[in-house]
Amino acid sequence: MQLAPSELVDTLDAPVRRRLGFAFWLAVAWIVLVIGLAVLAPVLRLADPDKILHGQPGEGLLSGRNWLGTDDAGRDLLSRTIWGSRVSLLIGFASVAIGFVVGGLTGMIAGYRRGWLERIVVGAYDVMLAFPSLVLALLLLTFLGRDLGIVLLVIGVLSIAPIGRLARANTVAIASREFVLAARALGATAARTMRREILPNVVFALGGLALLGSAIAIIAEGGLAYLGLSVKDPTLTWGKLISSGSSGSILRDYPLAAFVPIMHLLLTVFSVNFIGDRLRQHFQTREGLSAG
Amino acid sequence: MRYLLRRAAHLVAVLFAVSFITFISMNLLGDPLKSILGPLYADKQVREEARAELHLEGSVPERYVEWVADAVQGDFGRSYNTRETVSAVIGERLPVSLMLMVYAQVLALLIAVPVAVAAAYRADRAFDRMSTAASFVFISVPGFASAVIFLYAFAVRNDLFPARYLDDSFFDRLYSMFLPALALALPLGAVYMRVLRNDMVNTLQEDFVMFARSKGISTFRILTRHALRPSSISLMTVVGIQIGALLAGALVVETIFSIPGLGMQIVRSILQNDYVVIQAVVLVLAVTYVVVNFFVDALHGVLDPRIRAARAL
Repeated sequence: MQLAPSELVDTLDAPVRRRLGFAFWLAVAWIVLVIGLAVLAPVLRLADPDKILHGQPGEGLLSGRNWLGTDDAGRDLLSRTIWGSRVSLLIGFASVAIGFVVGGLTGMIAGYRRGWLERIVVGAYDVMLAFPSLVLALLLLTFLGRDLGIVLLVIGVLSIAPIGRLARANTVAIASREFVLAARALGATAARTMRREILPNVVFALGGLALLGSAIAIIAEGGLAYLGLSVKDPTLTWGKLISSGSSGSILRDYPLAAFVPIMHLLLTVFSVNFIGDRLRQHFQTREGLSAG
Repeated sequence: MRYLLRRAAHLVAVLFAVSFITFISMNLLGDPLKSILGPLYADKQVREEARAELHLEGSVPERYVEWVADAVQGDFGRSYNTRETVSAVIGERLPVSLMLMVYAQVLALLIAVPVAVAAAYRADRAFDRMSTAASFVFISVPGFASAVIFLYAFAVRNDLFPARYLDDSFFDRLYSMFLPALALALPLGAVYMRVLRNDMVNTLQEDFVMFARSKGISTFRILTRHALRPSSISLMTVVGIQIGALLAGALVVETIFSIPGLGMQIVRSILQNDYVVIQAVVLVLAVTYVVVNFFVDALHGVLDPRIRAARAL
């Protein structure tokens, strides 16, 4: 059997592309580590994150009991960062889960049913997207208060429209394919067709977008903290740690107070983006192979 | 033309929705006076005077119409805390934020365009791979993180740049806004670079580029004169899309460098429960954003004759 040049290139490239790579697993390891620490924080015998003068103010890295140093009040930065990660990661993943479920459902139904329902749903997405997201968050958080549940909900609501738009577009494309038509011709109900035929075909694209959304949500919490709109005290978040550490005099004398949480946030956001990007490439390749 | 009319109708509908949501949010508080007045709320006389002053009498539709009519004329009422007119506050702060945003936008394009052109010219070679990898890193770094890093490295540890806003001259403003603008420009420029590089790679394979080359036109001229313009359509779209992110970033980064723009005003107003000011700031930002996006959309047709032709059909 003779191989055409293009097929030859494909067979040479394919095994390389199908591996996820060392960097991918490194990113996964980091995410597992931060999530693990966040979940286990209550049983880890960490220093009390709010205890003033747990060490001397401004201890450096790896100084005795305080592995990542202390802030301007002598509080343990490792403990503060881990306790902060609980809320930041919760916001990152739980709020986007709201967008994933609500956006995915409304988008799929709109794309499958079409007609007036689609016009209403798309109109609602358009209005949500017409606000710059931070401005909409600013509006809602100012007038609803800043409890953890509300911050979660507001960031979740912001992620509905982008995910819903993609869900609708993909559903419209897939609903016209033969296998969907076949299912309907065999008498499958709308709910069953959506669950069995359409959902498996849109869920990976939506998941990839949701993962990106998680990174954006973690960053959004950071931005909101600077405007005084993150979860109210005494709850710790990465954003609040970073913003309180980045005021002039603290940054000069106790730089670790800002840089320890910044590094955690950057590594996490970078890992989530990287995992999302790699998974997208991975599934694209598989799709390409099965189609060909 | 028909297309533009339809977009304009859409614009009006969205403006109505945005303004109504902004207006109605005040009612989410229950009685907003309770939060504005605090303990003074118990005093009936103070309460009724404040209600009259803040236009909180009458039914919701009546108040909405009145509020929009005033807002269109630039009258957003007075801040209940500082007694300044809200329009004066916004008039003072908005230009500062806008300057930061334009500055960041210019820096982002100044970085992205040459890098993208160079990367596309030798696609898949070392420089292309390096810049693509770098763009991936920079996309993930939010403006506030690089702002804090820059502030520490170039303003706190040494005096290369000021750590606060200097207002004496235009040059001072440019100088003191350089670090925050750069922090905003990096993630923005990374997105632009990716988009432009991909389009440019495609354009360089078109017949007219081959033709220009065979006529003996220099590579530099082909890249800058022939290939850049047709490659910049998606870039324009993305510039429009990113304005929302840039706006959010600018408000946040302002607070790090103490730049007296709308971001700093928001922080202060939230601390003081100054809802009238927040509502007005939200309205101004949302309307500006909607209108700018409308113009970016309209500009497409001007840039790309193919879109104009398609719309005429």
